Amino acid sequence: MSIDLSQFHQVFFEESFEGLDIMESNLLALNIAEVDSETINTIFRAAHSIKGGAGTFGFMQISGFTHVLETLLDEIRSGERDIEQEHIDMLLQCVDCLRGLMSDLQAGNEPDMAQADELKIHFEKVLANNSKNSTESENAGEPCVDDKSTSEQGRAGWIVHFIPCEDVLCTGNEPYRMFRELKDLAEAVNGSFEVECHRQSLPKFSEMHPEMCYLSWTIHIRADVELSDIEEIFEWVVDDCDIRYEPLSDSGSDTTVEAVPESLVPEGETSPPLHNNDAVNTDPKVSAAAEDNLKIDSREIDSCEIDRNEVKAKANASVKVTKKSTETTSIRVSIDKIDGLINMVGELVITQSMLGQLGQEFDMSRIQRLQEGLAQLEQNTRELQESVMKIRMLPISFAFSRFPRLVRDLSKQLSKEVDLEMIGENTELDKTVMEKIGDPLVHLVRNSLDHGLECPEERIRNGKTSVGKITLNAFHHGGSIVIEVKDDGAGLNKDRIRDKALEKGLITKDDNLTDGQIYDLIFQPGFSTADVVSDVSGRGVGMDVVKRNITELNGSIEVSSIPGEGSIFSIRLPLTLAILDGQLVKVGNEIYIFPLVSIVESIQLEKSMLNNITGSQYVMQLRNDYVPIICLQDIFNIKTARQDLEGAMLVVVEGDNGKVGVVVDELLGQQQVVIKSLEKNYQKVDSISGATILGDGTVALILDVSGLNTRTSDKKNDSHIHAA
Amino acid sequence: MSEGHQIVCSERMTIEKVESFYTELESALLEHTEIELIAEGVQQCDTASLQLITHFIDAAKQQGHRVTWVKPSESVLNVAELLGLLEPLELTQHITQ
Repeated sequence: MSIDLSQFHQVFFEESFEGLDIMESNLLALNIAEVDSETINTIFRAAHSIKGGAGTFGFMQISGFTHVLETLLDEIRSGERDIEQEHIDMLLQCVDCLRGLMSDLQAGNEPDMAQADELKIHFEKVLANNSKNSTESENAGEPCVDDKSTSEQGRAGWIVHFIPCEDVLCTGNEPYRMFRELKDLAEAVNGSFEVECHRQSLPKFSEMHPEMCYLSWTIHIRADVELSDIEEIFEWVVDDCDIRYEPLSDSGSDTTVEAVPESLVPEGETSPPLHNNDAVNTDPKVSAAAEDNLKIDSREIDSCEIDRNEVKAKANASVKVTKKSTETTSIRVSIDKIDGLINMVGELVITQSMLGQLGQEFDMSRIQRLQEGLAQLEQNTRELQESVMKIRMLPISFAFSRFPRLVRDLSKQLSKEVDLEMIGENTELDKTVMEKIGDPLVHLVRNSLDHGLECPEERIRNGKTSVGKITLNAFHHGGSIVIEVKDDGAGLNKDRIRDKALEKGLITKDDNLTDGQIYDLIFQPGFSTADVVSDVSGRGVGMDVVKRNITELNGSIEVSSIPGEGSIFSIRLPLTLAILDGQLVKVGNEIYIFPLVSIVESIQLEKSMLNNITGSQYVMQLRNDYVPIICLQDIFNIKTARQDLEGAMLVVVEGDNGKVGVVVDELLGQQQVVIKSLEKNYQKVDSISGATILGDGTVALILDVSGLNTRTSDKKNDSHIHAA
Repeated sequence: MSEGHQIVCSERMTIEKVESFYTELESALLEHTEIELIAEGVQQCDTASLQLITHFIDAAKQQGHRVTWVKPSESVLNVAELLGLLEPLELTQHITQ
């Protein structure tokens, strides 16, 4: 049996991204004036786990890079070096860089190491500077250490004598893989690695067992590396194999090595005074972190042959496939939710069994029992559905977690002082919605910081504190989730927005707009009132995208603002994308569904409302607005009895390009529908966003309102319906 | 033009197949004096397989037989280098400078 380690890649990436989040949040929480050792330890453990995992799965780019920053963290946590703001900035850059590298690897692409290499050089420079202890010692004019402690030894490198147990290969512990890690370790600090293989123990060829390991090795690592890092590489085999470490001195190292082969003969009687691995204290936290990092039961490893080559080959193969989809995402679910689900299934099975029994011995006297059973089945199904939907729900803190860093960096860049408050971080939201709302939220926060909040001097002039405040607030309201981005800045300038809209021809002087309508203008493409286009915002690109993204999620966004006090952007989103509140309509014999959120109103057409503009294209006057009319029967080639528009039922819907009136035969009820992807199950169809299965088993198509809207610009020469 | 007995190394020259590979090499050693290891298609190899070939080459030499490599793949060269087996496997001349 062999384990395909690539099956764990996704878990590794997820855990590593979580580790990076932990590093980032703790780095942001670090106060260099009063360093909390536990915070440093947490950052170190996260970096260490990422490095260990990357090494295990053969992502040497990650492990090599992480090693350098881990070294700095190790010096800080051991008190050898004081942490400085520069270190925090560098480590935060590393977090970003690692995220990029990992995203590339996850997508099956070769990571771009340019930034990593640059950072690595920077780190090496910092590490090359004397650490606190050595500087202090030098200043005092005293030698650092009298005796050769572990940390002092091995500055020139290490010799590792590795005599594996005979069955090392059968347990999946590949020596060449360990050596590759040693090589990377050495090369990460510009050192070298040499390996010498000893074959004295090989039996006669006819007597050998090819799965047994008869070879042993002496490895020279000429690099300033910590012994604990080397030991870590051998930690899977340390109990079964003979591993000895010897510090390599600058002079005479070769002579020392020459003496070694004798000691490597398995039956060898004497050994040189080497460092036994047992004699060196390893940090238990480090070991624990390494163990935690690879969440594979060691018993599994022992009992199976792991073909790491296969993993590497697969990793290489995936690199060759460019732009591989990364959409094979997973979700972590608490055991409570799973237990709840199992309970529901148990209930369902009991009800099904009861109904089955009832069916076998059914007579009309038991009709009430049958009805009760069916009601029970309905309840079980509903509860099961709710439980399953809950599995996809994650706390919004997943989306909020990026903002402390974003606000920190941006406020620095803009020379503004900002306090970020996050409320309702445990509010749960569907994972897909959460993933899609991240970018719009980032845009809104950047916008609030850049345009909303005033600079400190201006705030003081306006009688405010110099520190601006941005509040992110999430809460459930009426079956939806509301996310507010609030700032206590200058507020939106209505006059300026109006003037800009006039200048751009978006409105006319005669338009009498409410405050809300004026604020809505900022969501028009290309609209910006910023005088200066900065890196952050001001190009007028973005707010329209924000609105479009939110609309695509069947959500809405509203703005409220008080001059001098600030603005609030309120996003309202459905809790899930899997279920939609829909309005069922009938056209001919077909049933279609409008998302309820896009319906403005439904009316019966009167002749007086209709205006013919070109050919058979009609518009309808709806109060002060003209709304184009389209007929579903024309779009989908459905035969209906209706021949004219007068008296027709019209559903007015609003999409990206404004309102459109859609002629239908009949309005049916409203109901929640489970959305099925048409694209996945069939193919993409214009004007259709998905499908659902109705209670009677028939398939109904869900209309894409924005898609329908674009149809109004098409000339329909073949329309069958005419104004009476 | 090849003259010796050709052994085509498997694409996955790893421990799962090392037993059958051993049998193949053992019989080749008994039946042929000139053996060619065709290794251009090897995509994966490991310590077990290279240990076996090392021993096979040693045994062949002792019996006065000749073993030559034909286009050893990158995978073979990389793993051999990491294990310090380039010389015992007589692969040094295949390393591109």
